[in-house]
Amino acid sequence: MSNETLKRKRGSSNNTTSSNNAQKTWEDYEKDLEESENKKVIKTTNYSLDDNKNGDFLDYSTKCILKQDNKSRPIWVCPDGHIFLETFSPIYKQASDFLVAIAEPACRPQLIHEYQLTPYSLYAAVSVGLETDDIINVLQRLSKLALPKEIVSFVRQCTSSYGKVKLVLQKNKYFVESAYPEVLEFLLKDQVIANARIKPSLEQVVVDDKTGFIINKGSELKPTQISGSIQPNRGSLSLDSVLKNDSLSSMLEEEEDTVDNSDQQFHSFEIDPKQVEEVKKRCIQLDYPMLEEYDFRNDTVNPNLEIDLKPTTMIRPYQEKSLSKMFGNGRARSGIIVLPCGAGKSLSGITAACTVKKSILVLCTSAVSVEQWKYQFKLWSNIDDRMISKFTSGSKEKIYSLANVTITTYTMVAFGGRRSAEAFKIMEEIANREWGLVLLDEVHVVPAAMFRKVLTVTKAHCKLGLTATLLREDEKIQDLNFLIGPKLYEANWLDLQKAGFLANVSCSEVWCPMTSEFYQEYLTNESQSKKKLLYTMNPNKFRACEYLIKFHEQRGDKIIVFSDNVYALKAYAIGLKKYFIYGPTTEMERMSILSQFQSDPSVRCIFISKVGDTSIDIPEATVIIQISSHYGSRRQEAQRLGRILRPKPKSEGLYNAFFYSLVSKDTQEMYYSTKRQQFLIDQGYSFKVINELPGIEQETLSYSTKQEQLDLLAKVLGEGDDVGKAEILEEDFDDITGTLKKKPKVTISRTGNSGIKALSGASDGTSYMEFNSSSNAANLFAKTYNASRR
Amino acid sequence: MKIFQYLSSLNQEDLDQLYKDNWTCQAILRSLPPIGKQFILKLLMIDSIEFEQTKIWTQEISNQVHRETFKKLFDLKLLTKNKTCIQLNSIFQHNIKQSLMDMEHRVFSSDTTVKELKAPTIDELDQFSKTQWEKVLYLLSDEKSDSIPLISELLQSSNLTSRDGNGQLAITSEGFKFLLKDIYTQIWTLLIVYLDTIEKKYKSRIELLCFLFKLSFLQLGRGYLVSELTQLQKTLLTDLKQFGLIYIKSNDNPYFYPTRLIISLTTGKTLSLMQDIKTEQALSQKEQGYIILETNYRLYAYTSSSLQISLLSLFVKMLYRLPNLAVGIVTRESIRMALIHGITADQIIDFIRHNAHPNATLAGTPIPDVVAEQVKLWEAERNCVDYSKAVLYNSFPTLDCFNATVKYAKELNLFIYSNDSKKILVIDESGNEPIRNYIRKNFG
Repeated sequence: MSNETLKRKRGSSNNTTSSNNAQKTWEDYEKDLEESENKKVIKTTNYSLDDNKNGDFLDYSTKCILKQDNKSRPIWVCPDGHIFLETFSPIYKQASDFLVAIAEPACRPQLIHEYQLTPYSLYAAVSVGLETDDIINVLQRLSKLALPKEIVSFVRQCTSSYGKVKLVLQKNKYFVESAYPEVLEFLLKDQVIANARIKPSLEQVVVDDKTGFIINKGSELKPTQISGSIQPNRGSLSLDSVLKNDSLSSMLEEEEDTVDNSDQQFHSFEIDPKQVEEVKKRCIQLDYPMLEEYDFRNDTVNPNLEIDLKPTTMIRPYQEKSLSKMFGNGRARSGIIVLPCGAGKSLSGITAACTVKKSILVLCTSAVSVEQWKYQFKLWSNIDDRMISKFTSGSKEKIYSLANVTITTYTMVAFGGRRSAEAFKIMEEIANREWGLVLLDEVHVVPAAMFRKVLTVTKAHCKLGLTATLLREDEKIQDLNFLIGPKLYEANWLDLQKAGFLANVSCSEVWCPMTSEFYQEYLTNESQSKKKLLYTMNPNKFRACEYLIKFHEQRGDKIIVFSDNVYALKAYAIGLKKYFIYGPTTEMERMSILSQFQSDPSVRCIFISKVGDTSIDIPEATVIIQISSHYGSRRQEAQRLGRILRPKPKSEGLYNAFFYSLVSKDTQEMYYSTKRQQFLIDQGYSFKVINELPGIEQETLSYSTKQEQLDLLAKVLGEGDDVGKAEILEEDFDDITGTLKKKPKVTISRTGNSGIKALSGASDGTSYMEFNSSSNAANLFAKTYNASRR
Repeated sequence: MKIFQYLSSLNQEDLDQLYKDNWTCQAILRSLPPIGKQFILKLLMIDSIEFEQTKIWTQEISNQVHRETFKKLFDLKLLTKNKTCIQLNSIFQHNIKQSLMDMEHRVFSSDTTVKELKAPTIDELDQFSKTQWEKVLYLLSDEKSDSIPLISELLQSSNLTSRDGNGQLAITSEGFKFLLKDIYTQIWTLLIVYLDTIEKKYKSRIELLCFLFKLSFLQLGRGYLVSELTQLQKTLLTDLKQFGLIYIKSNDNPYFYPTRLIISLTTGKTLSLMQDIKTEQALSQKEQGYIILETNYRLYAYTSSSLQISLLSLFVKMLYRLPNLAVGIVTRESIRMALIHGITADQIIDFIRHNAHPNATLAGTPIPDVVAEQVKLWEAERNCVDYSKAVLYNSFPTLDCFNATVKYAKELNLFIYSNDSKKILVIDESGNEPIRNYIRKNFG
């Protein structure tokens, strides 16, 4: 005990002293952010569309005019920016490619897809090279209805200022570049931007006398070939390649090449690297968001990296398509690629690295994924082993002096405390280097504050974020938009599943009735945590779990059982005599359990707490049973499903993977369960409700007699109130390897956020709970982030 | 079918009278289920047969069907029982035999009709019957539409609408259920009420029934002479026009035209002699299938009809309406509202299945299993409380009496609830007698 508290004390005092400075900036930052958000709201209301968020009935039947030949066109565009797409249309593929580029997918089940036009989605469209008129024309051609004039003006307004200004990193210096000098002049009227400007030094030859802008000739931009791309020219068109190549072109006139600017002049001015963040934010507020582009082929200052995909490596069509968005005009754009778990995000990242061929920095969430990234690099590319260095608390490898690949974690880079001399040296190296490409793995889990820290520390020409679940109503997507860049591509889960790139998962929700004694106690007990424990420990749920494990073990499946509640995890695992992994499990033990699970045929089932939610790759697993979960977190649900999404070679029958969510009937759990599934349902997954497991009565299972059930109830009630509570409120931020073993546990009180919103994780204040980061620094971030919010 | 229920309720005399009409016999025969038709034809040429012997007509596993079919035939009084033997209704038997033999049989003598100038085309007839029937349905939903006196009277007397507190006509829960049924059930429901009013007025429902059955043998797209009809039939024509069953340009026009609705009324399907089955099916598909329901509970209806949209909004929360598309979402609340109105989950599911968009049918299931099951679960959820009758005892004279009675009730396993401080005891209703006796014996 003394040891623990001592550490915590030291840790906290350490933090308070060392990060006093930083904290101040963060607080400032939060204030700024709030301000900017306020401003943004005002800004966007100028041309926001009436969003149908509150689900009112909108009647456009008289307002919109149906075209005569509507049957041959695939979409409806509503005046509020909502778009419906028929998947059975002959030009569905082309239309959906176009819509993914310009709008946010809202839901994509089997027959009708829905999209929403937003300022951000249009920003993304512009940044991948689409132009205002193209967008309007194509929408007009695809739509069954005459395009509402609101939409036309909305698209015009949103895209008028977008894509005009670029931020270019050259020779360690940042330049704001534009083909329109008047835009630069406009920007320089802003005090913040004017202050950040650095007067051109002597070396820069061509300077416009009047404005003082540096002028470069637009260099000849040739399309880049994406490394490993099957068709050399397919991925390199400036516009959505599909719009030109395929049958749609009959409907769409030939678009002129939008990057034909070889005789265009670019004007630019240099800005202070320290104020890049500020300038970027100002630009967003002024409605001239800057596109970040990196002309890596013409970069002669930074050394090239010897890296290429192995000849045997095949990239899949959707990976190629996503990368074609990134390398559209021969430069590398910053942005985010959204691919489902198990669809090969790492390969996309590595292919991008092989295309840029400069120093690569990979940031991951945990030490285990650092290992996995290194393994993937060696698996897919021909990179020399000594050119990859890992930087974690466990292994601090020296960075190869020339171009190299460095793999580290967010927390290592953002760490604000004192570092060892060794780590300090490496950190300095990371901060000084001009990175060609920074790969940001699992961008959705990283707290905004930590992100900012990481991105200000590292100088990157180009940033590529990778994630599976970019939840749209999450406020943080807006942060990501200006910290990294627009969303470049989002894959359709069902399409990938149909093409066999993802396992075909059968999702079920098993309703377990509460035994009458448990239900009575559930209804009368005052304590929330006890209620939670009661519905988790429901004997019928235990029996259902046991039954499903037996059933799938007999089939020869490998099963992972997830439980957020550690008490239940232990009770179930011990009761059923299975291995279990949770926070305090040592690294040695974890590794041995996992390897037994992977190789030993007699170990068919393991129990894991939420330490296994992300970044644990167990391709053998085909079945997931969820007995207790984190309230209404849709992301957790999707991530857990992701554990079994890797395509399975063995497929008997329709499904080759199974996802069960066990819920106690008529309890709060039902409500959360419905909420959790929403994301997956929008992706086209359907959760089948199993009211009664066939044959469960015939099986000999635990807790079959009333006496056993009553004993269990007594045991559950006998546990202190904190058994349920401790596990709910105390967040184990450990990762699966537990590299930072002796971390202080920070208990965060949630009393401030009562009500269903807080419980379901919907309110902003609790969103940090889902960031699975792994050090006290992370907790501090979360705390300060939260504190400054209140 | 609705009409069989109605016919079964008629007495022997009425039915015998009805069976005197040759066309009615044929119409009834063809609207029977296949196995019923088979039984009739087996019996057609024999006088009587031992009931025991009919057992071999079906396989043992189909016993249920066998019994039900016979029950139906008995209910319609098509079969009569004589001790252990059964035989066909002799009038019916005679008529069917006759119609089988008479090849030149015609509904109206001047069947070779003269072509009227500007005769309506089949499409026009379809359009007419469709809009006419929609008008009827509009009367039900809250849409403001021109009232058709006859129909609104019928709606009221069939309890589909009723006057609310303000004297306004409003749809009843029966009316909601009615809307979800298929069109032929709807028509029969109203026709039966109509028959009853006719019976009151002219005492001639049998004649009307015969007339209806007769009309169903007419050919679509042909005109028939009004002058061949009886006086009563002529008056009926104008009423039937309002249902959309008959088209007649004006009341003194010499020709009337049957619509698809009347022709397929007795078969329940849109089968006519004019077109082959395939195109017919394609036509009805195109006409009816307009709903796509997705696994995420969103519902897309390819329709521009306000009626269909207001129908859907009975159980769907509507979100968007575009010129040819309506979008909504099925939620727990929207389904609960429907359930409260007395619509059942099965009706909703059948309705969606029946009206599924061809593409939804092609893609597999017209209604995703997940959604169908969920709708059923939402219905089941409302029935999770069981009611059973119980008896409450209070004002026990003494505490001893109370305690002893409680103990006794527990021994007999009748005990449900007791409260010591209030001295009340609740027991199962079946225990009322013994407990009362016990108290009377020991403390009375």
